Amino acid sequence: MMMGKKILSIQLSEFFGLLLLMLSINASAVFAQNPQDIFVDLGENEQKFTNLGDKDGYSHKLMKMIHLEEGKKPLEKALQDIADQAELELSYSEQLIPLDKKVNVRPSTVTVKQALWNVLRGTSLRFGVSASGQLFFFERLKEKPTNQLETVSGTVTEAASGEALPGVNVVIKGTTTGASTDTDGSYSMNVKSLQDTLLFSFIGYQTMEVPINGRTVIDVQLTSQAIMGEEMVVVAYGTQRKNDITGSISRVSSEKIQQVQEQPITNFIEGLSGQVAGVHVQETGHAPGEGGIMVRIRGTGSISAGNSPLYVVDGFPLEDEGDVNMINPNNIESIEVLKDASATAIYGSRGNNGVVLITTRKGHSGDTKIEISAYTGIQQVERRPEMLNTQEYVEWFKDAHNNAWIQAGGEADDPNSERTETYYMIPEEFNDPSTLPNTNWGDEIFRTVPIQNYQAQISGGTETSRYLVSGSYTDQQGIVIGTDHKKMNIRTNVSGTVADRLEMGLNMTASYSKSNQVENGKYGPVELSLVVPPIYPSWDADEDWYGSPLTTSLWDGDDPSPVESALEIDDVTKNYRTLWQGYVDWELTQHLNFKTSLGGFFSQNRNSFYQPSFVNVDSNPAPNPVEAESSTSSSANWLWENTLSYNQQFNKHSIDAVAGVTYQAQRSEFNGLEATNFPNDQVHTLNAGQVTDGYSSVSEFSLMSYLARVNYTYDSRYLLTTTIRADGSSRFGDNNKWGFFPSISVGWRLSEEGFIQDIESISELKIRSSFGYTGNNAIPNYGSIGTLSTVNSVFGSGSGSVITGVSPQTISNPNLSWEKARQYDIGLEVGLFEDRIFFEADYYNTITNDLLLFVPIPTITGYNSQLQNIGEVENKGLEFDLNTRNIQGNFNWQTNLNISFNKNTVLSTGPNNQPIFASSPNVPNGFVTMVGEPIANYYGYDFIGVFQTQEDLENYPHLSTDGLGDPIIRDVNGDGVINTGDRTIIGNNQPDFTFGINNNFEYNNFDLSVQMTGSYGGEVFTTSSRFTKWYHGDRNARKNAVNRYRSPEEPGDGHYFIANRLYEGLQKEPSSYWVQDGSYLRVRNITLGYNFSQISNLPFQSGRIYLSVRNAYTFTNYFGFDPEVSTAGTGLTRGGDYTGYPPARVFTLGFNISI
Amino acid sequence: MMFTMKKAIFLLCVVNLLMIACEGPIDIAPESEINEKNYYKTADDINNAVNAAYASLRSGGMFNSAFYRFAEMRSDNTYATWVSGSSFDLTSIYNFRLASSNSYLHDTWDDLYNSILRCNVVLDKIDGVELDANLKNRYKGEVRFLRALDYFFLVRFFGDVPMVATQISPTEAYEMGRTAKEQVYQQIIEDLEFAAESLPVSYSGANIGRATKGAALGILAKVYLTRQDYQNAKQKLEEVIGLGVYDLLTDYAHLWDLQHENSKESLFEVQYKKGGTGTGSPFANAFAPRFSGNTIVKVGGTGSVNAPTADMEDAYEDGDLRKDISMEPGYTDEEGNFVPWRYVKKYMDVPFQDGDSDNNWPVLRYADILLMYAEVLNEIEYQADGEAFNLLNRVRNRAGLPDKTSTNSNPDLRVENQQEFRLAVEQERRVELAFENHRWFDLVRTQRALEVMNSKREELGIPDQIQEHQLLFPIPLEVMEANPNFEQNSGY
Repeated sequence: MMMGKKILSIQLSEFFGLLLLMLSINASAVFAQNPQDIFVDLGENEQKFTNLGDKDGYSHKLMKMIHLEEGKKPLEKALQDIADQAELELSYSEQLIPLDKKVNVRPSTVTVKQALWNVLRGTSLRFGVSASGQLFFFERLKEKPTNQLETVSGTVTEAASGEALPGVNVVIKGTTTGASTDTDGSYSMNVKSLQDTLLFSFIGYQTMEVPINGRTVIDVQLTSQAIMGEEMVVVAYGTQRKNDITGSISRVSSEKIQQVQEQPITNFIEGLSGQVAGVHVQETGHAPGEGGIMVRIRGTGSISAGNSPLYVVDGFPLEDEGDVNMINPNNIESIEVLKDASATAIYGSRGNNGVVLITTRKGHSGDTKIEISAYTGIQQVERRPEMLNTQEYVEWFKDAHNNAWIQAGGEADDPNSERTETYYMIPEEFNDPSTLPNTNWGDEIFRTVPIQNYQAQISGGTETSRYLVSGSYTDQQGIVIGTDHKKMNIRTNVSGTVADRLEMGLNMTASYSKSNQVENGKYGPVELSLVVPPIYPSWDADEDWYGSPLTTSLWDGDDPSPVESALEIDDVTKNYRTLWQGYVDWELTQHLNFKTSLGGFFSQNRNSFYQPSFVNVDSNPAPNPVEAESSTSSSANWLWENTLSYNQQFNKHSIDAVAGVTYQAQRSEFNGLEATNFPNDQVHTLNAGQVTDGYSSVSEFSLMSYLARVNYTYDSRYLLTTTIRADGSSRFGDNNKWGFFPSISVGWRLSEEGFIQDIESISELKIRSSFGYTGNNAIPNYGSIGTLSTVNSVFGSGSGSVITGVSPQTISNPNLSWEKARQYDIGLEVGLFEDRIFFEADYYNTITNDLLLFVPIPTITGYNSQLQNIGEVENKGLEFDLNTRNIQGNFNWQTNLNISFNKNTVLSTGPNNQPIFASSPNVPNGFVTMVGEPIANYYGYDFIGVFQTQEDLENYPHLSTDGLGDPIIRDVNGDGVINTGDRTIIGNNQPDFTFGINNNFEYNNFDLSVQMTGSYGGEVFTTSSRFTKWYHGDRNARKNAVNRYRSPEEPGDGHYFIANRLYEGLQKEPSSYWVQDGSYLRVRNITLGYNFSQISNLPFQSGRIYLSVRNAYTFTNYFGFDPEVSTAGTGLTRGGDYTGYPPARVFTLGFNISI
Repeated sequence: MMFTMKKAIFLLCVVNLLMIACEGPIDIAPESEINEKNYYKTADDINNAVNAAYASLRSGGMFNSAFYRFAEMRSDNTYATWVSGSSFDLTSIYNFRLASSNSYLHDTWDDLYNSILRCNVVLDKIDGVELDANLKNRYKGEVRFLRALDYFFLVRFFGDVPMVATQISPTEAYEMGRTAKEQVYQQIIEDLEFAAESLPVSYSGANIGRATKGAALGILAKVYLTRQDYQNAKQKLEEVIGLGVYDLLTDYAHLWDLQHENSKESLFEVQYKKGGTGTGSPFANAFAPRFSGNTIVKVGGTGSVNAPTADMEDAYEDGDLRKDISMEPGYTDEEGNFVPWRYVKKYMDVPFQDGDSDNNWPVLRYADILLMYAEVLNEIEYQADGEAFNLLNRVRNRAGLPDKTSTNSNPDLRVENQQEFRLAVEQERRVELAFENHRWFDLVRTQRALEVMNSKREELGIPDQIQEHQLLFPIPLEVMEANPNFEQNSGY
């Protein structure tokens, strides 16, 4: 039954898409046929019906009396009418049936069988009814005289279900000679040579080429295939025909997934970058393994509650987006991105940010299939900023110290003995910089390293059971010293029909990963490689010394050696994750199924940290007390889902409905220990030290839901979907426990209307629109409940005793509720020239209100913030997705272009529309969220140049301490004074648009794909500029600082201001000086592949080798490692770059074979 | 057909009931955190809440860091001998370039108001709890003492500040403006009067370290002195002295060793205890000179902040025993070289780990009481070699210094009139109470800050003068932005 539905849906939707194609292929055959050639062989067919054990009595439907209305109509339409009246599902191969042929139907009341013969008169087609109720057609071939012909026969079955496939075309490759399979899927044909190759084709299935290789019996399994624009789509709690969908859902095609699988990435989400319109993937860190990824579907709807989409793996909603890492990219069959309310409202209070549905691969009935793949690659850092060398640094240092001394009243040529503090002095060594080392710290911390990945998978099944077992292993060295990642993954999917109408299945994933990390951000080795001056050796063997600025008196900076901190500090994370999903699907009737599924997700994260005593750390030269920590967090998430699904077709009406109840609950536990006072640095586990602190905590939440959806289709033309979900969440306040999330959407397939059908060039034309409500519950588990925390006090005689105290921590909010979004979407889908051009466009408008916000409240309350529902944000935008098959034939060229525009506007921030200020480390109030502007604008002074002449100083308002070489600050309010009133909006991280351009080329067995992604108009608040663009604590600077203001004679480039050890102006305040254009175009991936599948005499069925380069090149003006990287990614402080782990360029060589 | 549908729906309902029955409700209370719905019910709850109010004293915005930055480094006593890029904010404190965006201001404001909240919670909840009447009174006295201390710092730092005397909601907070300083002082005085009446003279055993009657009276005296209400100050100081439980220790050095914590000279101390419990004192590491490694502090970092200025070093008279006990002019490194990097020595202990030492911080001690009393008496009336002289000399004698008299042959020891006595007290307070967060407040209180600071800056060749408005700090920027009703202190 399942198979029948699938074929039908493909047939219907394929109709227009392939109309012209069929004409060109079959025209000669059709029109050459003599009407007298009709061959009727009913007796034989009827015999077969009996043999099939026709339990549902479909064959008798051929005897049902029906009424035919008069008229001239296309053959397909006529057949459909008959099938509808006979309550049979229509199934056929377009290559076989001249669908466009108009037939004259005479009014009559006849049996179905007679009606079919009437209609099929003039063709060589015969028909039959399958055991599953399909009306299918096959062709009677004329016998040809042959010389010494061999006979080849066999059976064709459907790979997934094992059911026989009738009507499959079997031809000898390179000829038009062929046959088709009959009702039991068997075929028999004559071939000239047993060295020929047979081609098996059937619409909706992958065409298979099988060399005969001397055999006379060849059994074949066909695997269903998704064709662009004409596919089954996974939706929440079920699947739906792509053409019937009225919501905005982007499917990531299997080709794209396969391309992603060949890329050297460990989290497939990275591979989605630039692939789907409306989905913005920003890689916020590239550390091997668990790098940071920020995914935004249609903008940023929330200010401080989560903005990440909900990930659902085979129906299991994952609570933490990081857990999606557990899924091996090679296990993924399809990815669907649900974008509008019609698609996501059924996920209720988790639907606001969109939903990503991941479906994993399953086994298919048939022979055991073994697939093996592997790749190996070389990684290097993609791009690196250039810093001052020793010569330049020494000049920079002297300038800064002299200028500070002059400012304090001294003279530039005063000797050190006259200078009162070290920060005015210039070390002896600096007078001859050639004696100092010239270390390029980037060379010291980056390296070229390998990555390897191995995959194996066995799948197969019998008629009643199917299985798939796969395993993978990845070993990745990090491009930064001291980092690496190993990951193992096992997945098993088994399912089977255990009794009449009862199917059961179990899916299991287990993954283990281990990563060695280094710190990110300000104190991480990557940032340190920028700020530590080149004047220290990276390693001094004589002195047994890492060149740590902390351990020398050359300068009084506070930074340790980047090499030392990367190599000597242990920071190891291990993740264990398992996901179990079992289900029972009970077919109550032909139209009604009950499914219950129970899932459990268990994860454990272990971290161990050890910082030896001999390591210099920020501000503190060695020896330091050892810092050691060991912590474990574990969580168990349970899901029980029960759904009832119903589908029925009456004539032109088609209904598909689902209703269900679900309960999901999670318990997380966290505990850890800290220790110090280790006797030496030999043993790093905590038993060797003295435990100083221990902690343990538990956190829980639960979600109870009722859901329902009805899809209604009339004549494949008019489409309606309506959904509702009710969510009750433990996270919400007592006064607001339950939320209701309805949606409705409609679609009109104009291409099914007569007036459009006449336009040959249009193969698909659909307009759809949706409206609905969704929610966002991504707030802390006990956000509505005021909590208290324990703090220690000391009382008592002597040195006292520690006594517990309890203080208020958060304020209660019994009215706390979910964020509500009201979403509109209108979309257009156009297919032209048999879908050679397929275009999709969407306009959406989403208004999120009752924003869950930790509102900074006046601290005179004693609290910093309260979680409230206030404010309103709008996201509106346009998305375009264009797929074209530019050239077809021996040489194929396909292009996908997608582009998304999103405009984010804050409509309200609460009762008084107070701007919300936010800070990130060392960026006090550098972000503002205010009405009429996008979320998280950068906020600060606007530096518009450098005072290069005395005239400039007279022309611009400035601080009393400002002099030549200091920055010119824009007098924003025009009052002639520079003060805090002149701070203004100086940028935003959200791009105007993002896009992806993907080209695929094929020539013979070669293929080439080029993926490019880009982003335009976003800015980055490069907090690293705080150290590297001006003289900051004796740190090193960017190469361009050589163009700084030095004197009236050397005024510099007008951007880099004077070096001064002790700036007195606003240089240290957040300003436009830190803001940079973050636009980029990245050549994300290039893959060149060669397919062995068409070569005979291989020891395996199919094979492929490929060469690829990922992150080949990035076109950008951004200084820094990566314009995408944002280490401060939360809602209110989005876009701050504190230097994360940079991306790698990876060259890989890989292969896949299938045995 | 319909029958089956009904059956199916029935099935779903049964499953739903099972779910509700087995899996439980969607009401989940926090398991690892105390929940305010079920707290403040018992005597223990209140006791814990009072304990938490004391813990605030150790916050970064109070004694742990902010107070020495704003009361010592702001003055001529100390500065930072090392400036990193990220410590520029610190230099702006003693460079008098302090901007409202300086995060230390914000920390201080927030931590003080958080401390006030901890006190207000107790006062709001305590009457609803069954509790021994005496104990209830004592608890109220303790938190009102702490609240008064918080406000006393707030008004001295910022001038007019919002007067919050009960728990307030965010909505109420948005509507609140700055309360006139006079009114805040009124509240401080009421709180301290109440505390003085309800607190015991002393504690024993496990309660040592809590606020006492003497502490409340002593702070109250300082409040009156700050307001130049000498009669009331005099009365309160006499009450403290009249309690008869306080005296000077014979050896100044004993004040800083761990055996003499909460001694008879101590009226109130911030209690610290090392050992990884989050209750250690950070000063040993914070004040140790940079690059001194383990030569001065055996464990942990070296912060180089709050370092004595050259002027401070010179302020000690020859023979003053307190100098070597209070500070060092430098240290000898491992290679035997003397490094002239001055540091404060009063709080040196072997830390358990970085920032985790045992030393308490003296908030109010008897020497301060005696010097305040001397000052008050002199303000009321100068009496040559009168009681005020006795008090001053009592403090001097312990430091190994000779008496100052009105007719001394040594002009350095001669104090001939009221003005000279004022300066003598100022000088004595500076060296006796050095590095105990008094200097800046003393200079401002006696209206000497501009004169003293500007003359010293002139000596150092710093061209610009300190202005009147710099005697107060700017209201933190974040606070201004959260509440548009606020007006910034003039000049900022």
